[in-house]
Amino acid sequence: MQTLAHQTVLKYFWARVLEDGETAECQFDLDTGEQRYWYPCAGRYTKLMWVPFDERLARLVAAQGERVEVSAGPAIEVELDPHREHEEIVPHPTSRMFWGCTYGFRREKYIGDRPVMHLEQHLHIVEYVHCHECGNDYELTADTKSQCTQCGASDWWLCRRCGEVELGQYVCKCGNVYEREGPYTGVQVVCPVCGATDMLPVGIRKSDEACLKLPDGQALCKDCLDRNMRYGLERVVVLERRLFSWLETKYVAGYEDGPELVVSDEGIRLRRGGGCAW
Amino acid sequence: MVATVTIVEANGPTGSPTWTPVTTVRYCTADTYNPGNSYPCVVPTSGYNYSYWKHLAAEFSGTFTQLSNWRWYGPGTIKSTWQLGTGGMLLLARRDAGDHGCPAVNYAQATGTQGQTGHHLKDATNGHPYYKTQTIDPADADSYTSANPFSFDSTTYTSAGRTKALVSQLRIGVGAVQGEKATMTGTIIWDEI
Repeated sequence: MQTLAHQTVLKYFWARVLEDGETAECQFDLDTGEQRYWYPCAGRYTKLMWVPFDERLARLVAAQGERVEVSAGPAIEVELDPHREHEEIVPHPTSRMFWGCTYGFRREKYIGDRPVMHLEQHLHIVEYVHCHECGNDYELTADTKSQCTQCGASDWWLCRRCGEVELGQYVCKCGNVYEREGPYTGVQVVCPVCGATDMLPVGIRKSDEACLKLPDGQALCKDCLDRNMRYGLERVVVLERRLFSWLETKYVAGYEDGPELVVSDEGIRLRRGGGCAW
Repeated sequence: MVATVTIVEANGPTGSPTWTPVTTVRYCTADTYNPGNSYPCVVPTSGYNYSYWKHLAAEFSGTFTQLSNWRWYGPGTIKSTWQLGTGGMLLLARRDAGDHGCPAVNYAQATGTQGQTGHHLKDATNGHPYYKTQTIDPADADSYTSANPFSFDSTTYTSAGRTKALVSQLRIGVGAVQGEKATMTGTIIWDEI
């Protein structure tokens, strides 16, 4: 089973340039690799950056327990205007409104672009199929759901009364292939050639025409059908469904009420903003 | 360290659920996180049958400034791919106001007739107590894709914990096609700094 806990493999770290245009802060101490928290600074910002790790910093940061990948890509930069005037509508407590509202709204001004910077994490969850016959792993689609895409194996259905009932062709381990005759009361199958009594995973395929199909989709083995009995079927799972999940990390930088740059494995995309600002 | 996140499912008695890392997300007719091939959903002859509802949440730990803006999205094609019949769909529980996600303290064990049908989230008697009195109905999961995800928790987390739970349930209508279904990808998305 795969590890169920997901931790980001960092390819970039954040950096920001303050209002003076010279002072820069970044996510990791460049000498020790220790992580710093992102807190809004007292002043304003002139630049936001996602910076790729070089080998030296990657080693330092990895020593702190992070998972880091060195990248030769360029730094992603977003320039901010620290002097631009903005207006926003904000809720404002008031007691003057005669109909008793406790909140009014007021237009307020602020100076400087507000940064938007964060990782956007996408944790995808999907099932796949593992074939116990050949070890093949494959995606389950409408076309592949009942048969292994590599060896053609599928689940078996055993009659709960008979224990094991074979319909149609029976393949012995010795290689002999024969049609088994009823009645289907035994629990072992004896090969008429070698006499082997292996409990091979023969049984019923629900798609076999010899099986009775009930309205709810259940099938019965031929012997139960002949005896008008309904014991149901036991499924022998050959194609096991397993969970696969993976974490996709996107690096977002932009400013409030403006576009955002989104950096991911698919490339760099400019999108309409919507993230919260700092 | 940046955040480490695990998706977990809640099962068991109301008031003391067990949160288990999910190994599969299979909608079935029992309160279990991994039913295998047991307790399959049953196609109704009239009206609807339901799966038992599921509580899914994200557990997180590690070192981070904050985690926020928790959302979910799917491929937008669940009901057609799974051939859920007339009116069939994957339902996402919603609240009239506030977050749609269910706080841990409001967890309620999924109930119904095991092996047959679960109770509808909004069943007046047996529905989910956190949702059954809401005016708004559960949403069709197919309405929520990567371009329009379903927000279930707006809390900003600054230390280890667990999000509110995304509560969902399968509704199967008349004419649904019996059999195993192709897998669908579901995605939980959040912002991290």
